[in-house]
Parts: sequence; C-alpha cells; structure tokens
Amino acid sequence: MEDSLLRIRRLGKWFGSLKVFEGVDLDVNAGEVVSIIGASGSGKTTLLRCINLLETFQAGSILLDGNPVGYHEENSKRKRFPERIIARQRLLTGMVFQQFNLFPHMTALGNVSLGLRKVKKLPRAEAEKEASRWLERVGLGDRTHSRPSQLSGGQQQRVAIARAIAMNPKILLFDEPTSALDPELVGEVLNVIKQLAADGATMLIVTHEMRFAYEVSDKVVFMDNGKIASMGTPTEIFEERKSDRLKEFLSTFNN
Amino acid sequence: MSPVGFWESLLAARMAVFIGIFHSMFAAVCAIAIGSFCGIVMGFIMTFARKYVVFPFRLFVDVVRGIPGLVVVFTIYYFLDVFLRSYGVKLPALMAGIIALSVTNTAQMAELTRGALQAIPRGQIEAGKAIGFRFGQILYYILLPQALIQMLPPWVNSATETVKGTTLLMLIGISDLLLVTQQLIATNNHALKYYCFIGLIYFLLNTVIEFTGKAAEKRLRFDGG
Ligand SMILES: Nc1ncnc2c1ncn2[C@@H]1O[C@H](COP(=O)(O)OP(=O)(O)OP(=O)(O)O)[C@@H](O)[C@H]1O
Ligand SMILES: [Mg+2]
Repeated sequence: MEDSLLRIRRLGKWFGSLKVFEGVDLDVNAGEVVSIIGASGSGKTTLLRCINLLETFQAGSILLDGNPVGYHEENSKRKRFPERIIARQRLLTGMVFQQFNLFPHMTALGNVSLGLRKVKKLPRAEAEKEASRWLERVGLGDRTHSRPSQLSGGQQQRVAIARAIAMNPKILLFDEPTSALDPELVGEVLNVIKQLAADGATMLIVTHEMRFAYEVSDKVVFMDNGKIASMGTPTEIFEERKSDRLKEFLSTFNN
Repeated sequence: MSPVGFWESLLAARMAVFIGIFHSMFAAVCAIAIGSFCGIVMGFIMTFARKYVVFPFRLFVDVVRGIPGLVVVFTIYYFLDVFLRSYGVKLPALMAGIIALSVTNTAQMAELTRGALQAIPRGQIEAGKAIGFRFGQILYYILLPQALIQMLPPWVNSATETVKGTTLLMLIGISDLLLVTQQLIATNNHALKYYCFIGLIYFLLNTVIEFTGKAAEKRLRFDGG
C-alpha cells in the first residue's frame, strides 16, 4: 500500500472542556480529492485548521508526506514544534478560507505574489510572473491589478485559490469555499476547483455543496458527533446512505 | 499710543518671531515623530503581548490621556528638572518641552494604533500564517500597512493637536511663537493684529499637515474609491 500524503491518526481536539472530535483517522493520497460533509458545529472547520496548524490539538498525530507536523515526541513527551518550524510546515498545506481573507491593501497580483517573494524568496519580477500565471489559470488574467474591493466575491475567492496554490503546497484545504458567495457566483469557483482536481491536485474540501462533492470527490467523509461517522466513495455515501444519521443529514439537502 | 505701525514693529522683531516659529515647529515635528514611532510600537505591544506586559503600557496610556496636556508638561518638566539636577545636569527647557509633548503624543498614538489593529479581522493574520509567514512578517507586510491606512485621518488630527499644544511650552519658559508674540505686544498696541497674525501661522501649519494627510490618504486608500 502506498504511503498517503496526509495521514491523520487518533486526532483529538478540545476547546477547554468542549470536545470537538476524538479518534479521527483519515488518509489522503496524492492526487486524491476528499470531501468533508457534516452538520454545523460537527468540527469540519476545526479539523482543517488543525491540519493547517492554525489550531492546537491535544491528541493524535498528523503526518504530511511522512513527517509529523505540529507536534513531536521528545523524551517521550509531546511537544509543539517552535513557531519557526510550524511556519515552514504550513507551506506543505494551502488554505482557502470561507471569507477569502484577501489582503485588502494589495492588488490581486500583490496577494498572490507576496508569499512567493517573502517566503519563497523569489525576485519580484519572477514572483509576479508566476503569480500572473496562476491568476490566468483561475480566469483572472485581466484583473491582476484590481484590489479585492474591486472584485466580486467569486473573483476574490479565485484570487484566494491562486494565492494558496501559487505556494505549491502538497495539499489544498478548502473550508466551504462557496458559502459566502451569492448563488450565481458559486459555479465559477466550483469550476476552478474541478479544473484543479482534473489537473491532479490533492485536495481536502469542506463543503455543503452535495452535488459538487458527489461529482468531484474520490472519497467523502461524514463528520458527526465528535468523530468521523462514515467514510466512503461518493456512491457509498450519497446513494447507499448506510447509517440513519447520514440519511437524516442528507435529507436536509433535497438532492 | 505707540507711533510704530504693526508691519514696522513686526519687521523690527522678525528675528524673534522667526525663532518663535522655529521653536514651535521644531517642538511639534520632534514630538510628532517621536510620538508616532513610540506610539505605534506601544500599540502593537498592547495588542499582541501578554496581559502582564500590556498592563504598564495600558496604565501609562490611560493616565496620560486622562490628564490635561498642561499638567503633563509641567509634571515632566519639573520631574526631569529635579531628577537630572541631582546628577548635576541642567535640562534645556526646549528638550523638556519636546519630551513632554512626545509623551502626550505617544499615548495618543498608542491608543490609535491599538484601535486600528483591533479593527483588522483575525482572518488577515491567519491568511498570513497560511502562506508561511512568521509573526514579524505578518506584522510588517499585513497588519502595519492596514493599520497605518486606518490611522491616517486620526493621526492628522493628533498632529494638529500637537502643533496647537506647542503653545503650552511658553509656560515653561520656551520662547515659542506665542510667548514671543506676547512679549512684542507688551511693547506696542497691536495686540489684535498680532494675535490674528500668529493665529494665521498656526492655521497655515495645520493646513499643510492636513493637506499632506489627505494626499497620503488618497494614495493609500484601498476601498477602491
Ligand atoms: N475558537 C473556539 N473556541 C471555542 N469553541 C470553538 C472554537 N471554534 C469552534 N468551536 C466549537 O467547536 C465546534 C466545532 O466547530 P467548527 O467550526 O469546526 O464546526 P463546523 O463543522 O465547521 O461548522 P459549520 O458547518 O457551521 O462551519 C463547535 O461546537 C464550535 O462552537
Ligand atoms: Mg465551518
């Protein structure tokens, strides 16, 4: 069996005494698209944020490309890596946020090239060339000099996708990338993600777009009650609907 | 009745007036520069440091902002004077005045900076982390520019207040523009004209500041307008 790109074992996360999840196991192989579905508050966002090391976690391990991130064992004690190393480990993942979180004081080009220049240390001209290439890929070749405030929500989210993927992460994480969008702008963003999937990108996507999850995913994960309640192919999850909780959850989406 | 006309008397006293303007401007520029720098640093500390580190700064800001500028000037002047004198150093009044105005300005700027930083959504920091930035890079490339844009209008306000605040310096014996003028007025009967004249000068100084601020704002604004 091949080594998975992302390997999560027995992951547990608490906010103080509030348990978000416990004993989460998940593997994502290179080139795979995995969707996470589940009710509001089931911990989908928190799981992504743990993988991106934006949250601490109290139990278990996350391996990216075979190496533990966030925590390591030292004298059989669990220790968080220093921030310097955490910052480097974050480069293995790319994050696309629900609210885009573009830098409002920069153009689209500035947003995408900033990390290339200051983290990857590319010279400005090279970084901007690379950034424009990605902006073209998401269909915004003509908006490179627009500020976020001059772009529609769908365009902003596409800039955010370009910003994440330009850093060449091993895996892209999406947290409900279309939830903040007007319905008519959802399609353009989903199409970009589908295109990336077709090009072989490895992705973990939290979404409430069930049709999209069905179409794009190799594997679907259903989170419920502080754990991964079901996991399977889109057909297994959406058509066979083996558990009652899953049936109940999916019935709230009339698809 | 003095036979000397207003313009004649002004011309005769031009050196004193120049020195007055120079003292006032010099004090204002120094206080704005020092206050802006220290205040921005302090604002960052107050936003991101641990509680027990924040506490003394919070106290400083609240105390300084809570008492009249005049009291700050006097307190610092006499404190520094007594303190340094015990080491045999005589602090020039202008220096003490600049320090006093800087302290007031620092407190003001610290509060402005803190407010501006707090208004930046948390997602900005997380987006910075997500592209592999360390905290210093997030501060420099993401938070600072956004905070500065936010702060520009109130910064202009506080700079003009500082220019006006230089008039307090005459009270510790600095021949600022107001004191020079008052000394001139004592020798003739053009009081109203003199006050109008220096009023105009203060107004011009502040107009320059506001104009510069507006121009900077226009260049930096990112709301697309
Ligand atoms: N910073 C926090 N402090 C305390 N509790 C939190 C925090 N963030 C999330 N939680 C709690 O953790 C649980 C999981 O939240 P999370 O945002 O991961 O859910 P979600 O599945 O993404 O929901 P949604 O579909 O609404 O986005 C919720 O009960 C939430 O209230
Ligand atoms: Mg969520």
